[in-house]
Amino acid sequence: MKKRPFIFAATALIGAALLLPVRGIAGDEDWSDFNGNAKAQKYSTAAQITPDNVKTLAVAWSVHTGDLSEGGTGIGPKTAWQSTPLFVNNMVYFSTPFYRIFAVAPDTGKVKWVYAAKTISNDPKSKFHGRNRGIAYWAAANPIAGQPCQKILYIGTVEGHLHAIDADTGQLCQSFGDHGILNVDQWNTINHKFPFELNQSVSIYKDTIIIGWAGVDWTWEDSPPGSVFGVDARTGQKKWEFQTEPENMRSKIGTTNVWAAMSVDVQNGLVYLPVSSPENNFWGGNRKQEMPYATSVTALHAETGEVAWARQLVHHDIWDIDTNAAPTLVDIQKDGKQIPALVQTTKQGFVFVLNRLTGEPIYPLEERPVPKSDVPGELAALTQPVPTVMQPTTPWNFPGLSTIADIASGGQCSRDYASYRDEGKFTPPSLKGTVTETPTTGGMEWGGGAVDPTTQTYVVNSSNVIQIYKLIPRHEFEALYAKVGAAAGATEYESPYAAQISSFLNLWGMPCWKPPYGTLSSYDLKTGKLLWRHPFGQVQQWGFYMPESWGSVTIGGPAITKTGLIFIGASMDSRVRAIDLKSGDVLWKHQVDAPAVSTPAVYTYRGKEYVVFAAGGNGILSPRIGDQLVAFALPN
Amino acid sequence: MSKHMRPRGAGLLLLAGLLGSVAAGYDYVTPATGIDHTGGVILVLVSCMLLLLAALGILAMGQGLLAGILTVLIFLDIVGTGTAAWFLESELVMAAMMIATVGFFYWITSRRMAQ
Repeated sequence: MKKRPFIFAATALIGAALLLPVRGIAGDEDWSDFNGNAKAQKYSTAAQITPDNVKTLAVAWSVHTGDLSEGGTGIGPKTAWQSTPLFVNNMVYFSTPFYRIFAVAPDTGKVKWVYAAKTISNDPKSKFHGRNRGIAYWAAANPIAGQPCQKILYIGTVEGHLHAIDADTGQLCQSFGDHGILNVDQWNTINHKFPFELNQSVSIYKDTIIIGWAGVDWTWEDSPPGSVFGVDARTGQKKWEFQTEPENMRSKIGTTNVWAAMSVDVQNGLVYLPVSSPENNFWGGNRKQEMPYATSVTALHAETGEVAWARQLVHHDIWDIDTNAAPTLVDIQKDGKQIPALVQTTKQGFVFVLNRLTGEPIYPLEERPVPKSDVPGELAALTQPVPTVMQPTTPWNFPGLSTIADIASGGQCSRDYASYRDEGKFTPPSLKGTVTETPTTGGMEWGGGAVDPTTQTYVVNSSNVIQIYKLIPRHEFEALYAKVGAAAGATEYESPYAAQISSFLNLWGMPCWKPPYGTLSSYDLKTGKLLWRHPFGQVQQWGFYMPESWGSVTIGGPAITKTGLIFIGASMDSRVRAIDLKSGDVLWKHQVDAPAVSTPAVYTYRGKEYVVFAAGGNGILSPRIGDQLVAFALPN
Repeated sequence: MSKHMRPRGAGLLLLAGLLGSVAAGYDYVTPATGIDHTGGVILVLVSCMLLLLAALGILAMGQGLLAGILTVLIFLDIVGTGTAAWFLESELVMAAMMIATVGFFYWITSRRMAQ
């Protein structure tokens, strides 16, 4: 009898040991959402990797998916792999530019199963081929034992199909949509110029999945108008639909869509939409009417799709500076009060901090007068909202000509600059060309920022890019298009003006403006104070690395861990880095196959912390692309 | 001229050109270097091969105007390749150019001593 406790203990230990390989252990940290969690905080409480030991971080495992294409005539564009993996259900899941989902072991990278979505993007000649940003995960609150699809992964495709996959088996969930596939494009009923492209992961609120879509910008003024759908997570049945444009505008003005991920406040039942700009992206003479949700952050009641509040971040957007990142939700302590806040970054380099229940600014905004348009038919907004406390990540005015680029081009940069219009941020596009500070390439891109909710420190990477926006009257553009084809620029059919959008480079391809070209910034959300800002990453051209003080244009966001580390890829130089949250100093860096243009995932599995990057590249940033998913961990 | 010194200086240049070419070739085909398949590495590969040929040239010629011209070109090659390797962050090519620098000064010294 006295031996029983020992037997029980031994049995329990053996049982636990048997369960370990499949169940993990208590204390494992998930990364269950594209942005880490529903609040888009990109924060992990994992604490094994610290500023003291991060320099020993090494590759734990690596997977090459084979899903990449260099592009070319007849085979479509290059792949752009921007997917952030999920760690949930004791498995690492990620999607590829060919719309396949991989399930791999979290500690070895061993492939458990692969789901291949049947899609037109599998046709190498498809013009929509090769873009993907991730998947979403839903789990039943009260799972039914023995029933499939109690945990579901969702992946969208370029033709507007949403596939629901059993997270345990990799099989389609037959009860969802039509045998596992929901045709979201069936709701694309006005100006069907292109299918709803589902690049981004859907958002999850309890048993509702919330779906936005991407499309084809710069091409038709009368493209599909923006819409967002709430559907049942189990069946795909539509629960609600939200239209971003006034009803009388919808047949003539397109997009104003939600193409980036959204964030969800489960406790308050709200979903936050980063709403993009309408067509024509660069001339708004046909849309002078108020469009309150265009280029806004809009909060909807997640159960009904009704608007809770909306705040427009750019009035009458004629720069294509979409609101493009899921806002980060965090409670901040200010003046002795806890305020439910939302941090929204923008392409123009602004950081808006709003009360997420009301939309009211926590730090004051100013309606600042901005230059008028000199283009016939256009009526640019007289003022634009500008945060007054949170320092922008990009300069208001042209940063000055690059002496090296100007000399190297025999004065081309200065001659060109003198021929353009430039009156600082929000100078409207013009017929002679406008120097556009923080154009459509950003500022902050869809990666957005990350927050440490315990210290309320917010970190975000940003690019300093100058582009020239030139409007071209329709008849001139048609003649040009007949000569040079797509190189003529943004067609914007049905509009009096097309547009040429080009980076301000000299004949050698060197930027004509002064560096830095990219930065990483840290803010104290309790005070709005900028804690530090450093050039981030390195520009790489023909293999040569430019000085670190120049920084790099970036795509993809950072992740923060409890121990005060920032993990980020994002830069042109195909390196991933760990950075000290307090100082901004680079503590560790490692070469990967291609620019890691996605947010990394951080998780703990069986007591070991892993940081995972998708090194997929993006043709916008660098010609180098890849198919490598790589996990780093401390040596055993 | 002390015949035992000249070959040793030129030999180091030869070795540096060879090592640099091999290193640049490795950089070109290895994704982990971050500079694979780039124009910069091709440039360095070509300049290392030129260094190799020039080293063979001075080894064969010894003294004379042509050897003097080759010596100047070798100097420019080392400076240019070293700078390019610095911006490529190619430690192997940089190491090869350090060897080349030692070899070059060895060669110059031995040349002067011979005069």
